[in-house]
Amino acid sequence: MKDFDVNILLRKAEELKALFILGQRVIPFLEEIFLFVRDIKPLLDEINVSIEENIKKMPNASKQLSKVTEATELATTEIMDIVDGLVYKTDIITNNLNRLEEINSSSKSNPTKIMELLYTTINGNVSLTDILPELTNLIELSKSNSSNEFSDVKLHTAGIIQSINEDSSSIMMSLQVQDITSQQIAAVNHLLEAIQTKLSRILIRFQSQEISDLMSEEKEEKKNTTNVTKLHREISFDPDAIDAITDKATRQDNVDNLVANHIAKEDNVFSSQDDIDALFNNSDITTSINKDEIIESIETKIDIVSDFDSFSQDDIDMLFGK
Amino acid sequence: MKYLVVDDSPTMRRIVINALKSFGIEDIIEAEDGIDGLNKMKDSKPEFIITDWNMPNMNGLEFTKAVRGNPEYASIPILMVTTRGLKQDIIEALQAKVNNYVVKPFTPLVLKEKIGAILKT
Repeated sequence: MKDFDVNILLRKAEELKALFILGQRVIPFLEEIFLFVRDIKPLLDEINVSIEENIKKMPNASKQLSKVTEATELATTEIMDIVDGLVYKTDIITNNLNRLEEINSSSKSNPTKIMELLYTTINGNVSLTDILPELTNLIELSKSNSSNEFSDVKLHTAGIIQSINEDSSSIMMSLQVQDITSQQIAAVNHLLEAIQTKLSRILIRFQSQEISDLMSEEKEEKKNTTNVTKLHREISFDPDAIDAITDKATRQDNVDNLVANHIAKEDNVFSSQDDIDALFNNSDITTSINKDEIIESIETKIDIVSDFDSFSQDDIDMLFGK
Repeated sequence: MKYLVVDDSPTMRRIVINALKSFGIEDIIEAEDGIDGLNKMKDSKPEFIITDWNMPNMNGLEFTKAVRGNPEYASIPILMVTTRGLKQDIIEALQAKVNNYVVKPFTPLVLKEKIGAILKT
């Protein structure tokens, strides 16, 4: 073998040696990368799920906000209709006041006319019997003006004032929408804050913190979640508050079904007065029933008669016995 | 008869108080959450409580439990007025011993009926 060939062989062997040394040094790095990918996978899965869940919630939040707008529009229209009615009613009251003033001046002018007639008659030495028909006419006119029409206008005005009171009350009731919509907006705000917090945490913590810290903080945050959010004041909310307005019509149908079902159920359970008497007279039964059992019985009744979760005022009345 | 109205929404407090006044009820105190309600009860003894459910600090359910848990206040009638209309909510309120339950939005007539029904019993 030539010297030249041996040198090449040695150089190649050196290169191979260097490659093995590099391999030895790279292996720990590769192991670290492998461990990192293995550790981060559940976190990435969790982030993925979290983002997916939040994205799923967004259309619902958007729908809820749309309902808020709808509800406020509806209430505003209701209030504006009432205000239009109030303007019309105040016009009527103004007309009535004018009419009362006319009646008042008319009722004042008739006695004056009578006095003037009497004065002229006596002063001119004319017989009183000559003016009797005119006098009678004036007296009758005075009576009718002052009594009938005055009372009618007064009564009419009182009726309108009463109706204005009712309108004011209706406006107050329509304004309940403010409380309901503010709860709904608070719920959406809460959701947005939660999403913002999660995304910010992912972005910031990824750079500076251990994966295990990030995961434990995530768990911590879930524990502390409450239905209170800070707007101009702290607002505690029902996340489905807006359904109280928007589902009013469907709720009523559900209520009708519930009431009908409940009556049918009651008919089956208490078939006769004797059954009821037996239930209340039997001391064994009454003493053995505790409050939890009563509540459980009510829950069972509701489960039987209702397939829906949301309750209306009539359902509640049924539950409380009034 | 003295009424206590507990609601975190100033609008709702005003609406309820306005309705009560239209029924001829004038002796009314108000509180903005359960804790405020309990504090107000120490000074002025209400004989009827109308409370919301969703409130910060102490909600209506916790407030009801606190009232029922105090022998001095336990017999005061409580009417809950809330947006919550789910079956389990009503059961929970019932278990906390509210006397009746009104869902928002309500009419003055419903409020009057419920107060009347409670006072009758």
